[in-house]
Amino acid sequence: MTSPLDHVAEIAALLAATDIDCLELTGPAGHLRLRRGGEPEVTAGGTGDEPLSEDETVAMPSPGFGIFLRVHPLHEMPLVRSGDSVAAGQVLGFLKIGPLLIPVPAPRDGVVSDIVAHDGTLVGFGDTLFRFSPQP
Amino acid sequence: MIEILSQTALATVQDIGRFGALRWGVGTAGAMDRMALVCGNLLLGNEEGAAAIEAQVFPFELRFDADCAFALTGADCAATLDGVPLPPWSAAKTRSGAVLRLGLPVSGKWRGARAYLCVAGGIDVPIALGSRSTQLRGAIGGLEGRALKQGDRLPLVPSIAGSPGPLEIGLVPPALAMPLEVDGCAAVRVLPAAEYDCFTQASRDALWSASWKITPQSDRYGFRLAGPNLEPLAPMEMRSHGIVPGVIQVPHGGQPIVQMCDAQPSGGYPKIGTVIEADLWRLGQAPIGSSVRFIETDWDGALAAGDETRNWLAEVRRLLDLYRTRSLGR
Repeated sequence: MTSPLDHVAEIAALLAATDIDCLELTGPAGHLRLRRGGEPEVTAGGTGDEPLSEDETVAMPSPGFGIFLRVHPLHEMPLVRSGDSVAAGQVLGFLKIGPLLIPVPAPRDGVVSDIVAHDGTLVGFGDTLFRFSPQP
Repeated sequence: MIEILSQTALATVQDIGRFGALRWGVGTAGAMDRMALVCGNLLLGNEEGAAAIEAQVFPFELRFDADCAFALTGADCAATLDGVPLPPWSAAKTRSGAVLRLGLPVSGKWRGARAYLCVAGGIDVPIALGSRSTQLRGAIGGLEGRALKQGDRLPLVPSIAGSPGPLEIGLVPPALAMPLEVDGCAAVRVLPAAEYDCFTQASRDALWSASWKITPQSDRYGFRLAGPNLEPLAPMEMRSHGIVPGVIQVPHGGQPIVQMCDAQPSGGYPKIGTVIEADLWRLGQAPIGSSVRFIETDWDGALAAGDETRNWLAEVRRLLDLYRTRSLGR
């Protein structure tokens, strides 16, 4: 199978005929982001994971589309606050799609350094929800 | 296998209920909160009415003796699996040997009284008269026709090949998705019943305007309510006749009784109303000591309420199927 990175122009032409403003693809061949009115961004060879920045935090992208919830609908208190230490797999938030609540788990042990997405707002695939400092 | 670890009381195996046996004097039994039972089973890809554990006295603790998936719905009991908190109304996978603990129901934005533990495949107890539900009065169904006790071991139905499979996600509880309150008090819709017109006007008004407190003499058989006395226009003596869960009877003392899932199939008290079938799950979750309000409805209103819950469940089913397809496609 060929890589989508070899077909950027074709994909862009297909997208131009739709209402889609942004397309992101992540795969073994790299990371592609096409934005209406923008230049294609291609990161070849990577997995799309952002490298550690100077403050050694990574962006935690949304696993999908939905309304981001920091608080379970039955509860009053948010699941995590900035600065909280969390364990791998611990639920940090939910994506609400109609009646479904999709948990967003911590990718590994670490500290939630910032909560980027606002509670109750619509987020798309790949939008940054949290910034996260993995435990070394 | 699941092993019950806590010294428990009143926890039973319940499915969607036993239908078609009323003519032999056998009541329906089944989950007091059918919405919670169905939601748990939908998350797991089970048959919607598969048998689960209904717990109503906490803390409640059990151990899984096999790798399996389970779903917790109903009352939010701040559950933990080997000490790790679990979100309410969600499904998870577990390893053999893990201990699930349900604490006291949490008073959050909605407080329930009964928690449901569904497991992938369902709880495997013998089917009696078409159902696995425990019928305590007749000592049939469930595990040996009785409530669960410490040390009981419950087998699981092997998951059927080709069944949709569990999803490790959660649901918004139907009590939040379809809230029903009057003046901040939980409410259920009620149809005036056969003897409604035989009560004084003041009593009929009180039925709709009073807060009815759920007394400690309330269980799976029926809820005894406390509120203003409901007085008949003239004393009524009736022969026993068929009754169903939801019927609100008024004994001589004037304090009403709502028949619930383990209701006997006949009774002779006058009936002032009937909680509609579509709202029985709401009443089934009302804790002892809390109050409920009755909202008058009619035949069309009762059918529309049934459609609303069915449509909500259909949407849950549709979105779970979509999500499942997408997850498998990855």
